[in-house]
Amino acid sequence: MSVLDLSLRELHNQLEAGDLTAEDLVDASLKRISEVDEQVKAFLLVDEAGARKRARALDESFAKSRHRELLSGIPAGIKDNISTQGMTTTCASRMLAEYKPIFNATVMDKLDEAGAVTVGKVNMDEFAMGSTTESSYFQKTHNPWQLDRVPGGSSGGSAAAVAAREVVFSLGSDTGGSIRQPAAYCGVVGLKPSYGRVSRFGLIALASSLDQIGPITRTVEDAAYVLQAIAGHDPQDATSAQTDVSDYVSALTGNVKDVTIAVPKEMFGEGVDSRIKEKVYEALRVLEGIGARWEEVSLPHLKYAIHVYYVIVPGEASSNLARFDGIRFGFRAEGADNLQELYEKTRSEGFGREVKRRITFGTMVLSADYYEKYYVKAQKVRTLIRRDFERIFDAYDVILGPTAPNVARKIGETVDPLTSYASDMCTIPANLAGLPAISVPCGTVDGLPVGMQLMGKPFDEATVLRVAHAYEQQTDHHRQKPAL
Amino acid sequence: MTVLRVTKEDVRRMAKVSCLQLTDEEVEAFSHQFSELLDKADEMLTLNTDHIEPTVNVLKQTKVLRDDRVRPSADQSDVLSNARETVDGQFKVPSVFE
Repeated sequence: MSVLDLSLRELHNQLEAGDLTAEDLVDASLKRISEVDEQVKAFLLVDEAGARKRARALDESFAKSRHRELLSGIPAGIKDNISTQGMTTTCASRMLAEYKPIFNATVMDKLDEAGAVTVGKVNMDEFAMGSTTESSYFQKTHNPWQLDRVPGGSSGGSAAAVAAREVVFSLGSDTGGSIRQPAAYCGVVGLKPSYGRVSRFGLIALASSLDQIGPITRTVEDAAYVLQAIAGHDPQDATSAQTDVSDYVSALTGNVKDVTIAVPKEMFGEGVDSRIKEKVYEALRVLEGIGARWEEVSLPHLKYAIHVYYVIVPGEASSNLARFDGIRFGFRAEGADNLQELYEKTRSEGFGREVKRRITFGTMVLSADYYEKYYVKAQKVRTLIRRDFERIFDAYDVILGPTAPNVARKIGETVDPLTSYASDMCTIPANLAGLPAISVPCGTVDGLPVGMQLMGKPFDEATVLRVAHAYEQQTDHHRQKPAL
Repeated sequence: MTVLRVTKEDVRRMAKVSCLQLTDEEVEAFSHQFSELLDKADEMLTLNTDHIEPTVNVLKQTKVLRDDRVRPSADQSDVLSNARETVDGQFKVPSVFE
C-alpha cells in the first residue's frame, strides 16, 4: 500500500509523529504523477521545484515547533480557474494560456495557512463550461477507471487526479455539478458547499450567483478536513456569508438515527439509467439499516431547473467573460487595425466553441427582446424551485438522489450539446437553491463508478457530511480504486 | 422548410454585440441550437409567476458595506505584467479612431 492511499487524518498523524516527512509525501505524489499522468492527463502544470521547496520549509518549521497545521505537507491539485499567484491559471483556455495572477484566491491563502502543498494545476472544461473536460484547449483528461472514458467535468482534472492517487485532495468549482459529477464518474467524494460558505475571491467566474469552490477527496472525512480549512467569511467577496463555520470533523459521529431523508421522485425519472437508480436505492437501504428514516417526496418545479439554469448561466457568463479583451491580460490577436477589431479577433481566436456558444446565447437572453420573457422569468422560476426545497427542509434533514443520470461516456463520443446539458439535471438544483451537496461513491455499473448525492439545508454542511460519512462507514466503495 | 425562431441573422447580431466573429458553420449550428434551447425554455413560460420575486442571489444579506479606508493596492508593474503591450506604465491599444 502506498502512502498515497492513506487518509488525510492518517497522514497528518504520521507527519505529526515524525514517521513521515512532508518532503517524502510530496515526493511520492510527484513520482506518482510522473508514472501515471501521461495516461490520465489530469495536470496542466506540475510545480515540482516549488512543491519540494515548500515541503522542505514545512519540515524545517516542524523540526523547530514539533507542530503541524492540519493540512501541513499534504499534496493538492488545484483546478486551473482558481488564481494562484505567480503560477499560470489558464481556465484551460487559449485566452489565458500564459496568464499568471498577481494575487492568490482566498482559498489558496487559506490552504497555505493550513500547510497544504500545491503540486500543480489541473485540467477542466474551458472556463468550466462543460461536463466532460473535453473542451479544454490543452488536453483531454482520461478517467482513471477506464482510460477511454471521460472523467466528467468541468472539474475533471481535479477528480481524476484524486482517483489516480496523484494527490491527496484537490479543489474544484461547481456551478451546476462540476465538482459532484466528476467525483461520481471517478469514484471519489466531491462536496459543493452552500453558496457563500467558501470565498469566491480569485475564482475566475463562470456564473457568479451559482459558482462555489469545494474539495474533491477520497473519503468524506477528508472532505470535512479540507472544507474546514477553506470555509468562512471573506471581506474580499461580498457574497461570502457571515455565518459561523461549525466543526465539520466532529460532526462525523456515524449516527443517523435522528435523520430524516427526503427522496424526490423527480430525481429518479426516465432520464436516469435504471442500474444507477438501483445503486442509489441500495445506498438508501444501507442508511435505513442504520436507523435513518426516509420518505418519497415531490419537488414539482424541479423539472424546470435545467431550463432555468441554461438561461441564467449563459447570461451571467456573457457578462463575466466580457473582461477578456486582449488588453490587460491574456491572449491578444495579431494584425488588428483598430480597437474594435482587436476585441473581436482576440475573443474569436482566444475562446473555444462552447464558450462562444454560451456567450452568444447569454447575450441574446439579456437583450431587450428576451430579457423579461426569459431571463427574469428564469429568475422567478428559480424562486419557485428554492421554495420547493424550503418546504421539504421544513420536514426533512437531507435530500437523497443520484449525482448523475449515467456513468462516464467514452471520450470523443459525439453528443449534441443539448443532450449533454441534460446530464446536469440531478446536480443543477442544489446550485439554484444555494444548497450544500455531496457526491459519495455507491458502487459501479459496467466497472464504472456511480455516485449518490446528498443535499442539505443552506449552511448545514455538517449534517450532509455526517450522513455521507455514516453511509461510507457501512460500505467499502470508497476503498475501491482504479487498476491504473 | 421551417423558419427557425432564432435566425442566422439574429445569431450574427448577438455575436457582434458580444465582440465575437463566428464562422458560417458556427452561425448555422447556433441558430438551430438556440432555437431548440428557447423551445425548451418555453416550458417555464406556462408557470404562473405573478407576484414572485426573481432570485438574483440566494443569500439573505443584501447590502454589504465596508469602511472607506485607504488600503495598499496592487503594484503598478505587477498589474501591467500580464499585458501584451504597455507604454510608460500604461496599457497600449491600437487606435480607437481612424
